[in-house]
Amino acid sequence: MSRSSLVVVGLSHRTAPVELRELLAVSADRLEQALLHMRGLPDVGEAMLVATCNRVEAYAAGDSASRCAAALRAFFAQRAPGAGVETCLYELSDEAALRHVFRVTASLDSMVVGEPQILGQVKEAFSAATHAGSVGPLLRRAIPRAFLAAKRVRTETGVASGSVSMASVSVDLATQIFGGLEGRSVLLLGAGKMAMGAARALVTRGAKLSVANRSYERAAELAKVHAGSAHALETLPLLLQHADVVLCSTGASRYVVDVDTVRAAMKQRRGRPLFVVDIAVPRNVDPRIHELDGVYLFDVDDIEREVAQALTMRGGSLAAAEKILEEELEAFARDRRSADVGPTIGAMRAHFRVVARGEVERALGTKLKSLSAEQREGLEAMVEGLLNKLLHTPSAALREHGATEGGAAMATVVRALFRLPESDSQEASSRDKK
Amino acid sequence: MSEFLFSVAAAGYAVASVLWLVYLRGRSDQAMLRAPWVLSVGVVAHVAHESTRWMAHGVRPVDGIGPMLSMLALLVTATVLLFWRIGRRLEVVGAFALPVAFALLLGSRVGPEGTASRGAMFVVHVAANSVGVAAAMIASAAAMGYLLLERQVKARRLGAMFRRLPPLETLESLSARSVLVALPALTLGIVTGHIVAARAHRAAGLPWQQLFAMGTWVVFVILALLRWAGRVRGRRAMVATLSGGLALAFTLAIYLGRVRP
Repeated sequence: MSRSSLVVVGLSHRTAPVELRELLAVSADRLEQALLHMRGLPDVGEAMLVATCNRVEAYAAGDSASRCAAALRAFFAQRAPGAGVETCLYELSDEAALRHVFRVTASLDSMVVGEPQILGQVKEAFSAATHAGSVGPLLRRAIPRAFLAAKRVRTETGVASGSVSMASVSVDLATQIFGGLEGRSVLLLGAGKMAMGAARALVTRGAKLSVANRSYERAAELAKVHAGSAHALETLPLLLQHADVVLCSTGASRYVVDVDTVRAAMKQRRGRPLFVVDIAVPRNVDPRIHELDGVYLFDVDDIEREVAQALTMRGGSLAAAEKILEEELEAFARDRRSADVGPTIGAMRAHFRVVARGEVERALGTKLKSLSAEQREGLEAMVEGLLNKLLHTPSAALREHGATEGGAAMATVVRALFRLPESDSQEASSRDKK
Repeated sequence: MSEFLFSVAAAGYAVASVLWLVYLRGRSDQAMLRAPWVLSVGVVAHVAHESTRWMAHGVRPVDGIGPMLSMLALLVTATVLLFWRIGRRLEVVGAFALPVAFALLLGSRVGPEGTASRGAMFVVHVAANSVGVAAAMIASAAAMGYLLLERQVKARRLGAMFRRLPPLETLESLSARSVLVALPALTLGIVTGHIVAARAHRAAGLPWQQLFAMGTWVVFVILALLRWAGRVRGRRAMVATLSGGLALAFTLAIYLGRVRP
């Protein structure tokens, strides 16, 4: 019996700068297409794609981990030809891949450790993959288990508590530039969750909020929440003349804030400093604005580099979180092994039942042809009871040992002894693929 | 006694300067717990030294370039202590101002002791210049802090200095206000100095060191005008302020050299 391997291929803030990550970014409207593409690759049985500002990772399952990983590498390379993406890609398989998925979901692999957004982002990725039909038995079991582990980490450790986050770092930086934030003007471009969090943190310190979005209705909705003002994105040049802090998090695939617009705005501002935080991937702000006098631009990598220092301060919580993940990984491995023998038990019982029923029907058609209907029913019940009694002990033994390391080997022996067909899960996977 | 007090003051300023710099570099938080007290000892000793000299030898702080430099050092250190009392991390500019104060105190020994016979106009001239130069030194120290902090922000490498120095806008505001204090005082100093020099030299023309003083004053006037017109802010204004401070230091050195026996 062969078993599907979980494979992770991707890049993250640890291996690739934002310039490369943004090349692989997948917008929400193209996610399904990308998933279907991945699912159609040879040797990829199941697939989901997690694309955030920090990482672009494919979680997949296949019979051969190496061939599945190679297919995914080719998939990424194809998306950004000649950009050197291949050198930044990492690949993990089986237990290492599973551990990685758990760590990512629990926000232990984030640069802002404990940040809450990643759990929602993985949930959205899983939902999209389920909707696209690219999720199979392995991902369907592994990812919800990762959610469970992440929830435990959040509630049982202090990893998610404290002040270190994208928002808090943005506030600290703004404070170090402007001093007090009372009365300062904050311009929020787009409606990204992280930028909203930073805007909220600035507003609670007395800053005034303006929201500009491609959809004016959405801008008005967000502005209303924080008693701010809503603007159309077309008024950006004017808004830049008055804003002290600009937070960008739009879904645009090009620069929303270009260097000429900022240069013109700075002339009108008469040297008042402008602090810009661009946490969108692909980036929304032309990085050249940082070269202008009085303009300070921080992108997602810069912000996260700052908060990385907080890791050391959370040593105790991190150790507790890692312990929880190990417990959950072990529990998942146990469940998976048990689940692996489940189909074997079912197949064994079905096989015995088919043989027994065949024999009963053959006997009733020949030697026991004279039996009444009542007697026939009694005979069938007796055979059924006999089967249950005979199969109870091997079934219980399989279940008992199924959760251990030797469970899979025992299941393989049983399948070989009785020439049982391939497991249901693998059949299902193959069926889906076809 | 006066010599001993001078030594205590100089030692206090020197040690405080080192502690301030250690704190700014992020080496030790403890440094800032001790530094203001060490500086306070220096200031007290300095005041005692000036008082003793005045009472024992009749030399007032406004009686010449030597006493003026000593007075300048006292004004700068007292201002740093005032910032420490105010808080808001303003005292951190002491890391740049205190070494200058220490140098001024040592420089005061190079200049002549001075005489008390120059008249009221000379006293006003020296007092106004002392206040003006001290304010310009504080403006320059704030400008130096601004430029270092801004460099870190631009490089996106936010080290200990980033967390210790006051915010950019606070430094800019401090520098701008100090220039606004310095300019009228320096203007008064220039005017009174011209009168004193004209009387002393009996229309012999402008001595060349006065030309440097005028040039320095012009730098500050231009800087203040550009600020008021709202055309120069941020890094450029800070570079201009620092340039003004350096020009001032150069002018002081010229005066010091000119009057050296």
